[in-house]
Amino acid sequence: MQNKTLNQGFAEKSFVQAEADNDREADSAAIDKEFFIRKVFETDVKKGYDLLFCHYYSSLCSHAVRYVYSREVAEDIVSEVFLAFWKKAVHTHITTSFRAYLFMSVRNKCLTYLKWELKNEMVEELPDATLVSMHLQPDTLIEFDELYLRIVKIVDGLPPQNQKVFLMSRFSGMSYQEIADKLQISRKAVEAHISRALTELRKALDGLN
Amino acid sequence: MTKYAVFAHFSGDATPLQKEMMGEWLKDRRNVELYFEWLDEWEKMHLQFQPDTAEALAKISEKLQDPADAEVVLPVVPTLHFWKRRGFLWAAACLFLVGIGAFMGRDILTYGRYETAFGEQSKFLLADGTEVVLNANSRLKVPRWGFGKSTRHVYLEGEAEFSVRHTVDHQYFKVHNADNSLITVLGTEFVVYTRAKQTSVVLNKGKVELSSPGSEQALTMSPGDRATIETSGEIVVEKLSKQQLAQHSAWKEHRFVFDDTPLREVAVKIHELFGVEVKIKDKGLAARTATGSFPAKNAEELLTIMSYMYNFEIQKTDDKVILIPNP
Repeated sequence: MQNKTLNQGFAEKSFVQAEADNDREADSAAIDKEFFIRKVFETDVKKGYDLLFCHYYSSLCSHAVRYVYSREVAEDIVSEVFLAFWKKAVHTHITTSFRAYLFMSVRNKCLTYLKWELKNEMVEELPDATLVSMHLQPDTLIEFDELYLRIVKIVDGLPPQNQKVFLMSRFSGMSYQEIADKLQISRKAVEAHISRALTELRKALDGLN
Repeated sequence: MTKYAVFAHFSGDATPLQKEMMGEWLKDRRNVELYFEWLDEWEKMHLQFQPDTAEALAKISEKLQDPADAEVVLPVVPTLHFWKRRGFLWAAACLFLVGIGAFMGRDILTYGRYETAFGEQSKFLLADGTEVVLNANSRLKVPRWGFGKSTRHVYLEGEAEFSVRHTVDHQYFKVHNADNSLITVLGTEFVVYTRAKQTSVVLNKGKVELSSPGSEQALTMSPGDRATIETSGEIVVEKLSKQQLAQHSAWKEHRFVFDDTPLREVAVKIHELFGVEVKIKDKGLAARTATGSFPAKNAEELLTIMSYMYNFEIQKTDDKVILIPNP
């Protein structure tokens, strides 16, 4: 399903490329697309914050869900990032764009969550993205891209029934028993499906520190 | 890298060669910003699900207003704090204090100070159980080693509310104001405002006695009274309505209550509390009066709300704020 939308995106290839050329000119002004939000922050912090939230919430959730494969967890992670943003008054000492900070923080939290869920590892969270530009290193960025791509591939490659059970449990908020009833299989079978999916997902994290 | 190539990378359709290129491309910091801009754009084009942004915002706003989270952090009292450190810091602090003490007439040794910076408020208990709420940009000096046997003396500059604890032996509590006037109380609640220009006392409950070097007789105030000490030292008393009485404590809830107050005076108030100099060059605007209750925790919030209501622009320079009337 996702691939279909992707292909639609590529159908607009020429249009996108024409736009890309414009953007390359505006290269150095990239941060300044947030100019308006920053201006509002200067006069009214809460208003600026609300604006920031409305502007990035859906794309951040969409990004987070590629890692954690649960709508609820994704929304919680994004909300946590915004809460921390407010508590630490990040707008006062940020050195990157808001966007870079938010995406980076969401990615860090997703990784922490995955390590906890799949490996039962309690890892210390990576330091605040505003403080360390190190985390904007090319390798780190590409590693994060590859991680979600690996996860998507793994979920995509699960046997159909397996995938169905996994997604039902993650996205519809149904209990194992409810899924079992709906698919007319045993509760034990549901558990087996889930644990198999998780075993596969664990492989995505192999080789990561 | 074109946007198209980066999008291809996001959807996992990049070739190893393109990936290599991407790594090179990202070495430029500006491209990193572009990377996130395009990531955001790409995500918006391929949303994995549609979250309810409005509901999420409502939920998070509620959390932000949770008093446990939003509570104003009380400023640390610098000199009192010294004594909490251990080891050599202790020794260093002793030496330092003794040195200064000898130099400044031991004022620092004998008195502890509570201070608030611009925009800060602080609430604390004194040794006798008296509760003090100190408004922004204010200083209260109290005996460091507890109150003596006969009277409780404190020295105030700025604005504060006192809830004085009545002692078993009916010990007087005395507030020395910036202009050398003196408030004498037994057990009661009152607000004192004492800055360079003016001293005023508002009594909520009980009874206090006010004396000033410039007036021969001490004045006894009853609840609801506001006493103002003129520059001549003369004391003027007026009876306040319940509403006016509440206005004098509004600052504790970070509210500003104005009643036909010219913007000129509002500007003075902002300077006192937040240390921000506000200039109004236009005479008409300076004389315009404000009425109402404005919730605000800093100068910016207050001025922003007022700018909508009283139709002016806010212009900021390095060290001051200038208000300009809208045409």
